[in-house]
Amino acid sequence: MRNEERGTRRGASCRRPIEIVAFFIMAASVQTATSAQEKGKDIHAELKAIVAKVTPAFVFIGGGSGVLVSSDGYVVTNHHVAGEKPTWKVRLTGGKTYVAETVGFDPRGDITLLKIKDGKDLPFVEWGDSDALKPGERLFAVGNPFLLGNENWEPTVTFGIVSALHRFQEGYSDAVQTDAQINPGNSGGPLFTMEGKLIGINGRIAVRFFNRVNTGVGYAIPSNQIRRFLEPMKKGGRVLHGYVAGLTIADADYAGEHAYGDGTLIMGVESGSPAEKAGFEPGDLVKEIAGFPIFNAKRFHGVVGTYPAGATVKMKIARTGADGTKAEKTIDVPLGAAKSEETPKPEESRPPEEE
Amino acid sequence: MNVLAVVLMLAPLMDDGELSKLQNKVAPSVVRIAVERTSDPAAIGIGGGNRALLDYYRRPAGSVTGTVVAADGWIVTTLFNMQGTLKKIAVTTADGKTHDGTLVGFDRNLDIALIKIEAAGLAALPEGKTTSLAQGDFAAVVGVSSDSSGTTINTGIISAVGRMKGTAFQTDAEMNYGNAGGPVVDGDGRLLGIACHIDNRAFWGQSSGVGFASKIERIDEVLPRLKKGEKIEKPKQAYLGVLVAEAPDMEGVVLMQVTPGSPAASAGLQANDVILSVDDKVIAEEEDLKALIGGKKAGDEVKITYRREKETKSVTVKLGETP
Repeated sequence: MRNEERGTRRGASCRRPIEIVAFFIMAASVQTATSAQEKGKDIHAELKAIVAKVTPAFVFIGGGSGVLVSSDGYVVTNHHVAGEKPTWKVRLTGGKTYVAETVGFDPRGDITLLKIKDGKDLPFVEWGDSDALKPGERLFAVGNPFLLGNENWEPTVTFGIVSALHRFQEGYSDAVQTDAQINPGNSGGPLFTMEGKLIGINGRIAVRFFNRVNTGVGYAIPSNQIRRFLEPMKKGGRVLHGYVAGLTIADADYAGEHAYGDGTLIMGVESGSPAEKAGFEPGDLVKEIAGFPIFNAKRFHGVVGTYPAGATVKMKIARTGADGTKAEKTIDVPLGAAKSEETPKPEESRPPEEE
Repeated sequence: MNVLAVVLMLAPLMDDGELSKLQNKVAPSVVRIAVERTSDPAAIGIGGGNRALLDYYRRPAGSVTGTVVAADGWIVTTLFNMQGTLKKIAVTTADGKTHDGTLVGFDRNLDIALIKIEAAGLAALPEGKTTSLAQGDFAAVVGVSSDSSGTTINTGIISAVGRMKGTAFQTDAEMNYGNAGGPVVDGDGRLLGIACHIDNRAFWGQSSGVGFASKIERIDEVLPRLKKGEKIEKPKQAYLGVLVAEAPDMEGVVLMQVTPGSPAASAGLQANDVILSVDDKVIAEEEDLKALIGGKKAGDEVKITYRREKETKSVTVKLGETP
């Protein structure tokens, strides 16, 4: 039975995905003359095994979810779930209670980091690479929609795919979009690959007319973004997001000189600003940031929004010289602190056309 | 990990041919139910002036689904389908014949209703074992569609094995007011449960990816009583109509959701209100509220002190009965 008390599990058992995966590869390849239905069952056998491995690290917290990311008890959840309350009573799958203390906050990125007091040998999950995801790749979410799991401390598992990547939606700069059903109560909870690697924290859904149920569009904060904020959050307090002060940007086709998708146009550079010091000039076209193509201004904000203040990112710019020659150069851009730290609204994103 | 990716591509969830076979296997046990009513509590959508909520939380016109559980004409469906003052129940079996149905008994805890029709030789599904289910297992719900003579199939996984006091399991195979009452089966077409707890008063509404099935073992246990005409009610409990959680502030519990039309809603309580005390007894956590309300009777009045924005207010709420 899945809802039996699991107590504590050694982190090591969550850290052996490769052996489990190798077993299934062997098992699957041995079934040569297998029917399609047999093959169909393999994915569920895999899913069951991975779910059983990672659910012990699930955390019930307040009106939402969280997940353990280290054996000494670091818990990641949404900022709109944990807020900045100093302590929380939390439970793991099976109901064992712990006290968790909030450590650091990223309100704009909608993440709060907590640590279970005197945490030791706790089950935890491994980080995956959210930038390596592909649309169509299978994902599963673990959460507590409508607090249904509070009955027996068995979280809810939903299964879907990567619907899209790099979504810029109401405060989430670079979200993973999934059709694994996310509902109120899933917030702060983990989104996993089939290998049980953490690639996102669920926090937003697109809803229709303020009716707070899933409509097939869920958004997760990507793991690569969260990881950049972990060390600053561990130091405590609020972590601000990165920002290039002194730049005015627009889509490449704004001035009609470029095609849409060419890049992001630097319209203006404030004199004496960090942007000027970094080497930007008006007319520059930003083609790439940290290896990502920057096809419009939104994407510029999207990538920069995944970095904390104080980080340095590489930006590739195309510049047309006075003599008309085009050159590309890569500059290191240190990111200052973004001024606005608006906390994103929980779990609701509406298409821009609606009110 | 590239090898794994290739293996996954060769191992589809269940390919088109297999799903089709499954649907055809289950279809003979699915019936179409057309209900005529003189009154229906679910006819008016709830949600006040919000038009979208009105549509979403209102019983639509059209046929609904039932499941054959015995060859001699016993049909189980969700109790939601049998709500209101019924004039006529018309059950159309897979062979296309329509029979008059009689509502014989129901169990409100399992959210199922039992209908009898004069028929013989109907196809009942082989039964599965919900005790062998695990999160991640395949599940499918088969229903009828209003506008065709065929069945519908929605697939998903087992999301949780113990819900509704252990009487149901949860699945993300999508359920709506049309396929509730239909069979939830495993990959081999064995009956695991009946799609239930999808009604217009639930927070999860329909098609949200949160669906339930009353376990076949629980249904089999009560079937003899229902066949004798027993109408098993839920133990009456005091009801407020809120979903609460520990508040992100220092004190109280925050209302995550307020059921439209509930005693809480009628008293003016709203989502994001933080309940501080009930009858001047401090509410520190969810359990406190549950205990306090649990100790009351339907019809009792309680004074609820709450915080909205920066103001502290009090209101008297008359507790209702768990629906």
